[in-house]
Amino acid sequence: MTTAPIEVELPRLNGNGRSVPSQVWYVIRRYPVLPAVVLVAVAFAAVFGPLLTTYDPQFGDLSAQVTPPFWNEGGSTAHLLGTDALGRDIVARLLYGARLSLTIAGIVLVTGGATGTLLGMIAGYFSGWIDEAIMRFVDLTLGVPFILVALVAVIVFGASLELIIILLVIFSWSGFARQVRAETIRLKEMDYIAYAILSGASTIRIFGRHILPGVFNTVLVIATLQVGSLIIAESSLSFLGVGIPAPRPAWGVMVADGRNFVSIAYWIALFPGLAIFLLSYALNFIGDWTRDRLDPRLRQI
Amino acid sequence: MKRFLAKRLIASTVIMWFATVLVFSLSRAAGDPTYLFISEYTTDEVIAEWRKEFGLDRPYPIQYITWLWPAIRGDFGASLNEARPAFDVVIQKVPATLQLAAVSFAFAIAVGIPIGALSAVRRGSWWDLIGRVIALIGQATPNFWMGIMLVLLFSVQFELLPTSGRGGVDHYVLPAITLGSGSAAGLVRLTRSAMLEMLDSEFVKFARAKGVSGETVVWKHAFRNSLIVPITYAGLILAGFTTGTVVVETVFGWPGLGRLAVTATNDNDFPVMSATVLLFTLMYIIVNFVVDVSYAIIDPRIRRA
Repeated sequence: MTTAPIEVELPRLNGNGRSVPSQVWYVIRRYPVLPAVVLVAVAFAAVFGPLLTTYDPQFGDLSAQVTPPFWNEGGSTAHLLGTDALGRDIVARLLYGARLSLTIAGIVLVTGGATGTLLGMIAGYFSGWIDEAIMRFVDLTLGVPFILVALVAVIVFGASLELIIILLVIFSWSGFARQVRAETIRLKEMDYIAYAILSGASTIRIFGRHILPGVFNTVLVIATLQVGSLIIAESSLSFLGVGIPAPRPAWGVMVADGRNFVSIAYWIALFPGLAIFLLSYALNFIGDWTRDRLDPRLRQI
Repeated sequence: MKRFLAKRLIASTVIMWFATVLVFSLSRAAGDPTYLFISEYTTDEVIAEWRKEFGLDRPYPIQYITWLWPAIRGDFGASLNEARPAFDVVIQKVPATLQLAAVSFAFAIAVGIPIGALSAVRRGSWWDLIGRVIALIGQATPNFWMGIMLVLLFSVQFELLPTSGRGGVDHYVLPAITLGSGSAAGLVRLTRSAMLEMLDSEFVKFARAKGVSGETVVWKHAFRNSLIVPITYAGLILAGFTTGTVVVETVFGWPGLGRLAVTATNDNDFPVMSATVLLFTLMYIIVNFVVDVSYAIIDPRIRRA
């Protein structure tokens, strides 16, 4: 007796046995899709910003002061998100501001990350008094309220782009140093490091070839977790008028510009703040995700 | 315990000393510090006298001591902006800052811990959603912008609350929410994960198996034990307030230390600023010291570390 193949009407399935909408939902839940979209958009604005607008971010059109966004009465599509008190186009300033924010965050992360990683590796690898000295210095920098030291530095040197970068580097390196040190201490006990020493590898080679790749994930995770707070720290200082000096279109400065007009022109303060929020939300989310993927042991920080 | 106390005390003193060295080095970092300490509108004789008194030709360690010794006793020189000692200007602002910090702290605890616990107990419910939204907003929103948006909404649109200044209870609402929101977000996250861990732990399962009622297990067994985690976070909250007060007090025109720090910076008032920094650092260190000691009392393992 032969069994006839039973034909059943199957719902349309794809490879993984899920329907299309549920698979889309699965991807959104599993990967940071929305934060990635935000990040790509900001990065795109940072790179191509000047091509996307014809307005100058620093010089306004005084005949178009405080124009509302296009959906409000009195607004026009010439200035999609309106203009500020000096007639500067908000969209143009946001685009140029994205470049400023990301450049600063990038420089600070690379410099602070490299310094912290190097000092962390040295502290962890050599232990002894070098370790003590470096780690006590980390404790000291974390023990003093950062923002106030930043304010004193501004009195002495005056606000400038260079100063804020230096201050943020000082603020960021210690986090790297702590975690990299812990990771290096774990790695240096491993057999392959002992073999490398036995076969006569120089200390520099051990650092570069054997320890650095091992701590790289940790460094990446700390970096992604730190960017969000760096962006907020930078914009806070700029908001207080001690960060990036006006008239550069820093988002923090833009919020400060809008503060006194909040009752008559909400858009001046609203949009730059929204941009900071979205960017730092996206970075935090991607940071958490990277950590869970690469190094779940760092979850407590 | 005595050894632990001694160690923490020494560490705190070293940090305080480091802060004074830092402030002093910054004052000399840009060259001649005369105009950091003396208004430029002073007569030449006064300037000459000051320079002689502070001995700018002597080596830095001596200059450091000449600056530090009066500073320890509260003499930071005269404010460049107001005709009175810098320390008086600063100390007058302390109560306002402490009051705002206390109210914000209470707000963060009152919102963060219950919502964190409820969102763990009723996973996937409305509470969980509220918890997620608070955690998201509180963590990623810059304080200064949140403050302005709250003013826009509650003061400008609905005209419910005052925009700025210090006064009755209503003056505390917006600044306290702004300052406390980040900490509330942290507490929601921490309490939620601690509570989930507790609900999954052996002793809670055992209590359930024994037949203890659901509510009692949740609130008496799991919740009480998961409270340790948010309590250890309290120190970080208060430490985070130092940055927060500077921003929030500026947004709301709150007459405290944080706003003073910003106005002193804008006026280049170094004596006031140096006193503010050292006072802030002192409060910061005291908070951390108290927190460390209280952990050690709660958890004996820390004493040996």
